[in-house]
Amino acid sequence: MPDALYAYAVAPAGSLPDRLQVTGILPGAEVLALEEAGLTALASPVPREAFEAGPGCRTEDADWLAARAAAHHGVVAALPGTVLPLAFGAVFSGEAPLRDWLRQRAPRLSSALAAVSGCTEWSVTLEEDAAQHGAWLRHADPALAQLAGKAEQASPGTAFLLARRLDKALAASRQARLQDTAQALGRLLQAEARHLAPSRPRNAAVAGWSALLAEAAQHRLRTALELEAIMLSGTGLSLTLSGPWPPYAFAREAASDA
Amino acid sequence: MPDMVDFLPRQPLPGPAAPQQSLVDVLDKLLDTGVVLDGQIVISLAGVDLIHIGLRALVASVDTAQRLVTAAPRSRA
Repeated sequence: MPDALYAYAVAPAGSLPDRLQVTGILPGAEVLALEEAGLTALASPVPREAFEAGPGCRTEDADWLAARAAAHHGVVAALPGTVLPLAFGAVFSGEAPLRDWLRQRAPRLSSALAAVSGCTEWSVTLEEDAAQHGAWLRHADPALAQLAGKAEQASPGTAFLLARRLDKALAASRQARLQDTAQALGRLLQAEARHLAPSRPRNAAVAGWSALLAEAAQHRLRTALELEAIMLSGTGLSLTLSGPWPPYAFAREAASDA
Repeated sequence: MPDMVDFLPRQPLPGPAAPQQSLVDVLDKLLDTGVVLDGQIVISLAGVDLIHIGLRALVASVDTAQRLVTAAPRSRA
């Protein structure tokens, strides 16, 4: 029995049809557009017990939760035009609290919507294959190449000490190159992005960003990153670009105290 | 080629039969993003409460999210 509203995103009033033909957060849940204070909120009626601590809670079921996350993104990404996604898991206990929430934050939400207009979010990550990076540096860095050469020809005792020095120098060289590359990428992104936020690196990623980009900037940045990716190719570092995304990271920052 | 440059922009939107990688990307994007509702806590406003859970609170950690991803594709009910 639906007794709560799961909210997906906020859009400018009048920008979306009343009922959207998209799959909601739960099977069979319709997606409604509620207008308030110059804004439209997209929401689906849901049973609150599924999202709340208690006997009917489903949030510890990983399969269920992953499917909900995919559905949440499915709705947000299917919305035409400018939208500001809400955090995953936004459940209101009814229409009145949702309308109150919108009304109280309308100015901040509206200006955030104006800021994302015409933009999409792109994720850029810099990843390292540590073994390959090290192997490449041993040849590419003259000081390391010299040390490695000496170690190969030295007597066992000296070779041991030289190997220790090489390891230390290699670690420092890796860090320095990672830092330089990340800084250069950050400058490149900063020059093109309407908004840039660092993102939490995952797995082999050493640095990541979420960039809010207008269309022209997307093309320029993609060309620049492709060039950068070619330069990095074979050196143990690689770039990944993913998008277009709804402005998830931007929404968090722009309206965090909305 | 082991150092293949992973540079092809990926379409992040997963359809019903989305590849697993897309779902990982989606979960990664959804963690700690989107407009926050009042500090992600359950709030009561004059008797009508506003519930917000947030993916971070739901899954407790990224590790859980990763684990959850491996189990994800078979059920979308």
